Amino acid sequence: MTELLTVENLHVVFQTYAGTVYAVNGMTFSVQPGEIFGLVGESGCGKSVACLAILRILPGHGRITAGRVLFDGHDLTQAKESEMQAIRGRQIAMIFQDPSTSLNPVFTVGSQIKRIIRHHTQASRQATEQRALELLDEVALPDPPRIMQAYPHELSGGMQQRVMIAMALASGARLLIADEPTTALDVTIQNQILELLVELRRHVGLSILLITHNLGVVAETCDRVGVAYAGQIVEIGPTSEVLHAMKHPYTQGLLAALPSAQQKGRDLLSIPGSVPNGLSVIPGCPFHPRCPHVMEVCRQTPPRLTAVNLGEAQHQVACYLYSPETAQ
Amino acid sequence: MQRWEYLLKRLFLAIVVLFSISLITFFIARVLPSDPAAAWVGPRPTQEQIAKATQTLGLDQPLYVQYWRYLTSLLRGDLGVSIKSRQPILTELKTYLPATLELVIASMIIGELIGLPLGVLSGAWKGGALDNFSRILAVACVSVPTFFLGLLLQLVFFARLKLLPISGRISNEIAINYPITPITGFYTIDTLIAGNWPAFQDVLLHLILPAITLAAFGLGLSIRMTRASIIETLNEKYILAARVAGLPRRTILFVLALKNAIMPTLNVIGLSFVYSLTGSILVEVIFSWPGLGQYLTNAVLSLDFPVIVSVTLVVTVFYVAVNLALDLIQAAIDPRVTLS
Amino acid sequence: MQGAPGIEVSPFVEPAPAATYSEWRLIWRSFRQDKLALIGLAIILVFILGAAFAPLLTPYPEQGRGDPNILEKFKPPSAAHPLGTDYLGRDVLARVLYGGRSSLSMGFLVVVIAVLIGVPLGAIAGYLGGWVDEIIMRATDVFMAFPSLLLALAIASALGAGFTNTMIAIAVTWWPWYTRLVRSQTLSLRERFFVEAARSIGLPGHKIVLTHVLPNVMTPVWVQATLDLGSAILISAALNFVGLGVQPPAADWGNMVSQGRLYFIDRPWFAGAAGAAIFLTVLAFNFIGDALRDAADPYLRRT
Repeated sequence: MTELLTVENLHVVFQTYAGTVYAVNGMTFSVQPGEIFGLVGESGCGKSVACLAILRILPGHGRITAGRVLFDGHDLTQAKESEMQAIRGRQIAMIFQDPSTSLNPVFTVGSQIKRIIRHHTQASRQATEQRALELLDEVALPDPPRIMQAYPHELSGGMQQRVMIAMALASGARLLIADEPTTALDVTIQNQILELLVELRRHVGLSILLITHNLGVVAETCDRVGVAYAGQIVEIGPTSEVLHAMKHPYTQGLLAALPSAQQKGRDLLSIPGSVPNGLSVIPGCPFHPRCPHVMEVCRQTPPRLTAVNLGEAQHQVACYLYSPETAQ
Repeated sequence: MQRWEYLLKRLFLAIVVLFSISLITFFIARVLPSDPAAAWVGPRPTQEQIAKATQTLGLDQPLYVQYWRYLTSLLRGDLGVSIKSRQPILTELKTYLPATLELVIASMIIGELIGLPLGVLSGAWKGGALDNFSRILAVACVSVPTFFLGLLLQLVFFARLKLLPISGRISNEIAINYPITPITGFYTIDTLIAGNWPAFQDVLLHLILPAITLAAFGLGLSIRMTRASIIETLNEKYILAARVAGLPRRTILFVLALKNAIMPTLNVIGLSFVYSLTGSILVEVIFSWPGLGQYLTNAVLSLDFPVIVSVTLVVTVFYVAVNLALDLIQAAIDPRVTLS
Repeated sequence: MQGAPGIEVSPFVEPAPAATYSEWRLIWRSFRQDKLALIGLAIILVFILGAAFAPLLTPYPEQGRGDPNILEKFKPPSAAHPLGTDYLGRDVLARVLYGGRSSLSMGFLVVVIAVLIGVPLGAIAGYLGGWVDEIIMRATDVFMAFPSLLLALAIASALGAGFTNTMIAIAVTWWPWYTRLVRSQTLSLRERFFVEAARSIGLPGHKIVLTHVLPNVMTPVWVQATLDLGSAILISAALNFVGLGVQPPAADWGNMVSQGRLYFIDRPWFAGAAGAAIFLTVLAFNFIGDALRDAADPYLRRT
């Protein structure tokens, strides 16, 4: 099958005063057309950076040092800025975590969304106005004409995020990268936005790369999921597989850390240690300092993603517990 | 609705501030100096004269009575009388004010017309050649003492290059042969209205050096602050969102970012204006420009407190009014503004 | 500091603010890499040392202090007088060194006094809020309504000429900025988690302000103070130029320019040296201040 987006062995570094930060260290995953792919991990695991790298909008001190990003057969890491300009918005759109800072505070919502429509379609003023109202309706915003006249700060967080989604749709993108779109919102609104995204996938055929740190969100919306740690994918596969038959110790730790009804009255579990800061490359498996099942080989060589069971090439894990070399 | 509320609140605040200003100027004029009555009399005052002056000035009254009299006369427009010239200060101010205003406005035009665009372009192409040049220019402009810059310009353009005059607003020849009919008191405008070309040229030449000297600090300030403002705006998430949506760089910079960056720019204009007002004191001394600054410095030298305090008061009131106007403009532009 | 004592920090919670010490190390490291800042530092050191050791550095200390030497007047720069002599025959280099003592110390003291007055007032206003805050804020409003130079001029002339009076006059116009700065910092800090935490375990108000609030607000204060040093020196020079402040024959860079003004066109070296000294000093402080500001801003620091 032809994937829509393939990220292959992506490496991204940042030059900072404190030294070089290795933000993404060989991330590999792909998004199929019409699917919702979840990229899950804690803060600092490189998932947001990877998305900025895909669209080539890394801040000045960041660089892609290795790897490829294939979209429609073209390697985006090698594309010229003019080519990227044509892709951004029109082919791949992105929405960010905090919608209140993603909207320009001194322009009305209407002028912002119309500007995007006009840039991508060169439609007439009336057609643009019409299309804008349609889009606001499509994201289930009440009273679109009033919203058009409003300034961003006059809208609630949920409404702002819907506007962002409408703006992403405005350009006709096929892939939407959603970086923690619900984290900054209230829990009830979170569900609404997620439902909207799922609905759009069904309705419009939009493919979504969903970044989140919340396994609950993944369980509800994603078809496939990749678990990221320290700039690498440690486990990847269909959501039901990964969540019910999780293999990697990190994934297991993530799920165990979530409070649940069974744990009532007991201490919350947390993974001992803390997320690596990226200033140094950890030898071997990046998780080994915190892993309860660490073996000698884990400290030496980084494990590669291999299929969990021979029959299921879909579910892969990067862990020596499951690799054919080391018998358990 | 909301905007009107804001306007009223700001006006009220401004009035409160103005009252407090009058309190402070009163304090400076009457309470601080060691002996205001003696100062009024002049050099080598006798006891008799001091006693008489004390009565005339009402200095024997309790402070709050003095303040009340001061306030009421201010509100009537009576700024008192100069110790040195024994003339009503208001009249003297009227003759000196236009000269200073002309200088200040000319310098602000130069400073902002060059500084604002330079700052924007500098910040937008950060690290480029224009940026490096602007930064050096800006830091030099804010570091050089205004009075020293004036002297340097005089040295170069008058003494060595013999291009520009360095004293007064108009040369004597022109004043005699092509006299100016004062309408606004702004010689450039008056000569232009009257079609008096020789005088217009002469007046303009006289304005150049003082205006540039005065403009320098504001120019540097504008470049620095506009540059910082643009850089900060360009780092905002909504600019990233606009890039991600595929909007072209020119639109992002000159439409989306600029409108946000303008806010602090208004502040810059306010600061430049303060600086020009106060810096004109120094510039007028150097270039013998017959304006408020000269009036003030002469008063300082002769300890003419009524003048010192009146000039301070008038200039400050003016400054408060300009700030109020800038605030209101900002409120009109920025939809988020509330009284903080 | 990892949150309040006793609470385990789960990996999903944001870390508490970085300790001030390591923040300063990062700031210093970024500062060190800014060449202009280092040049500025060098210039300042030269001037400070020059001013401090003035009597030892010149063969003409009495002239520096003011004694005239009429026979040698108006001499251009030469071996005996590297910067020439002024209209009373005094060695200009000596005058600049001695003038530095006055100009530099006035600028420095102005900032120190402004900080001493402004910072505590700002912290109190921000922390206590209510009517105390209102009064202090109105006071800053009023003082900030005046153009600083003008107010300083008025106060200084009312107090009388002289070093101390002029210095007090300028300081009095300067403190409101620090109060505003510290107050807004305090306000934002008050809502931060660790202040709530400290309050919840019962620390008394003044202790919270001293040990938690103040250290965190001081960073922008130090940056601002450094930036202000240059401006303070400019304003004191201006007031000296106008005739207030230090009176001749004592030397101050400002009054040296004023006295040399009439001769500047033909004999620029004495007003010129003093003017250049002011320019270089302020330039140096601006280099340092800019680098500090860039270093203290976490966004800019990364590159």
